[in-house]
Amino acid sequence: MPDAATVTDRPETSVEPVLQCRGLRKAYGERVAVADVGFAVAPGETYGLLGPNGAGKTTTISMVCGLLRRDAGEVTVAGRPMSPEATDAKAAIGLVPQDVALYEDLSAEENLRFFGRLQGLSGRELAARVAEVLEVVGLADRAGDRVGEYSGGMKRRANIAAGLLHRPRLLVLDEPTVGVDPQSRNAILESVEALAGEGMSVLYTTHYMEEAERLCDRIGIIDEGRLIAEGTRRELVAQLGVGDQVEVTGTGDLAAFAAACAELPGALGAEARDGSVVVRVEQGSTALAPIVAAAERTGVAVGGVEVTEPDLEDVFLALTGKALRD
Amino acid sequence: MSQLRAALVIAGTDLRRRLRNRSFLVQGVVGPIVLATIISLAFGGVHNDIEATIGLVDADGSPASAGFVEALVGADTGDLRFVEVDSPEEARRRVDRDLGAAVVVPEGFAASLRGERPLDVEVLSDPDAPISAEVARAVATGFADRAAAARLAALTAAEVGDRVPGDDVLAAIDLPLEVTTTGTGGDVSPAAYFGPSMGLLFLFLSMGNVARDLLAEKRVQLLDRLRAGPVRDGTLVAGRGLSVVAVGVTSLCVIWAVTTVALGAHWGPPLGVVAVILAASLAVAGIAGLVAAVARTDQSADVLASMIGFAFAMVGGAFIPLGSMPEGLQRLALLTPIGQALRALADLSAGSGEVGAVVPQIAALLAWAVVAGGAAAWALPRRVGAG
Repeated sequence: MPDAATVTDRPETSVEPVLQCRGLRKAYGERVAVADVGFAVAPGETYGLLGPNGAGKTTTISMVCGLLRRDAGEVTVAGRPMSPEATDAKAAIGLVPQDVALYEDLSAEENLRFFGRLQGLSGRELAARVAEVLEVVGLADRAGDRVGEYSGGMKRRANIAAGLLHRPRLLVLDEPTVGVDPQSRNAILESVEALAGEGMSVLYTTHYMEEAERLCDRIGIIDEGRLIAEGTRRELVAQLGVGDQVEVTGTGDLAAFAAACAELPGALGAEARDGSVVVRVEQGSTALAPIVAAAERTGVAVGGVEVTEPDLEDVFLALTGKALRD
Repeated sequence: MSQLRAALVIAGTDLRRRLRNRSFLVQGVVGPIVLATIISLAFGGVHNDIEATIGLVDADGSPASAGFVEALVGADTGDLRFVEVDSPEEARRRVDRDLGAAVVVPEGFAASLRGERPLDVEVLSDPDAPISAEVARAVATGFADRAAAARLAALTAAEVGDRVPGDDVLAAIDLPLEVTTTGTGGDVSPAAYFGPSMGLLFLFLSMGNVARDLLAEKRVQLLDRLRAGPVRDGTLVAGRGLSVVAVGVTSLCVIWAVTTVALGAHWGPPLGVVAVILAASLAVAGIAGLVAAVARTDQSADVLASMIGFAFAMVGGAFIPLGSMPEGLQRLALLTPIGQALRALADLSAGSGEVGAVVPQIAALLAWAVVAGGAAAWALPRRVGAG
């Protein structure tokens, strides 16, 4: 498990990051909500903060967005130091809160015009951007309807649209799919993928492992207010040292087959079970052919093969001793 | 994006949402007008003229008191009639019947002016005829004031060694034939009084909306979204304050227009009325901000706003004309913003005061705005940003 200092120092790159956090700390009395959290988001990168509820994700992004005064640490956004008073740094951020942060008695268009004006947009530019983002989130045909009349998923999409209006350098999404039906969730994820594809930097918090795996270039795993690991999905899994798992079902001398598999290059271990052999390897895709050959050599008739890669759930379990959704 | 422009954008949107909301129409316009109409009718019609009969008793029999009664009985005062009554006892009996009120100049009044403690001029009033009582009080006060002035002149003359003036000097007391008073006396119609009073009452009761909206916006993270933009916390608060002022001015101006057109109320010189309405709305905005800073829940915001609103309304004369209140309460009323606003508007309506005459009341309302608004400006941003 990497220590926090290692994690904090890692994102230094030759390209100036859009977001740079160092040593963030926030305590409420005796309770430390966030301790020594540091990470960076590069231009065009989607960075995920993955952790269970109450891990400190929202507190962290509240400090990132200048909503909360930090006890210690530094935040710079687009090269400008962030604080609750730093309006120039805030202008570079588009925040999409977890709740639907819109006026339900106004239409989506009216809401967007309001938030756009506060971001300094006006006239034709404002009208064009409102139309554009409504198109992006697929609400152009319902723009004049009051937000209160929208379905849950439409509200969420309008919520995202309000964060995009001023083309922020950094889009901050705080668990945008919580409580959303699968169809709307997929639409939201596609929107985020599209934005990332256009080169926008995204800071995405979630406690859904699949979302982090699908959307994020790099992921920071946060638990009990500390950033306990960071990297690409592959890097995080590699930190586990458990490799992929290949399960071969078949008949014959499974014990001999397991012993032969254990000797293969790249094999980390093998175990015969009832009707199958489970082989742990560094990389499942390259180990398949030697494993099938070993089965032939030991006279095992193969009935089926399944390759399973460890996921972030496994990483989280290994790092914290508890499941992500505990 | 300047912070001023941001504040105006916030105020504009807030105002649009409120005006679109039916509860504004009910709370800010229909409610006050309906209540003002009902109370105006209950107080004796909605026309401007005062119809009252005041009894005058000369128990003193001095030239001064005789002159006082004679001058008023003979004066042309329209629907306001003064009649002579033989004795205080008869006046007491008739005040419950055909007289709205009576003024009694007591026996020995003129003689008492030469002594250390002059006698009081007595006013007999019917609780069901507050306007008559107020007129009688104004007439009595005017007579007593002139008598006191004559007494002072006499005593001063004696002090410097001149001849002590006799009854002839005291008989020459200049009597107030014009029955004009400040406040709710004079020719303030019930509609001109209760229109603004009900408008102010509802405006103060609506203070809870500001706190409720802020709490709701905090709950759904709308405040977070606003604060994550290039807008300072102070700007957010200022925007809301501007919106409250705009709502207040709009509401009171609509009530002004409706009571003028439909009920024939005369609020007074437009410039003065607008100045008072603006100052009162600023005071409401300041106090509303303070309520929002203190309230922790929707319920506590409502309770606090209702308590403050009703307390100011009761003490400030929203339900009972200031002039009908006991003297102590009248002084207390002027400690409240509603009392100050009503006093100013009544003075303007009575025609006894030009705009300059209500400057003290406007200053008092602005003081409320500055003190409460200042406290809110300090506390609210901390509340808005509190984790």
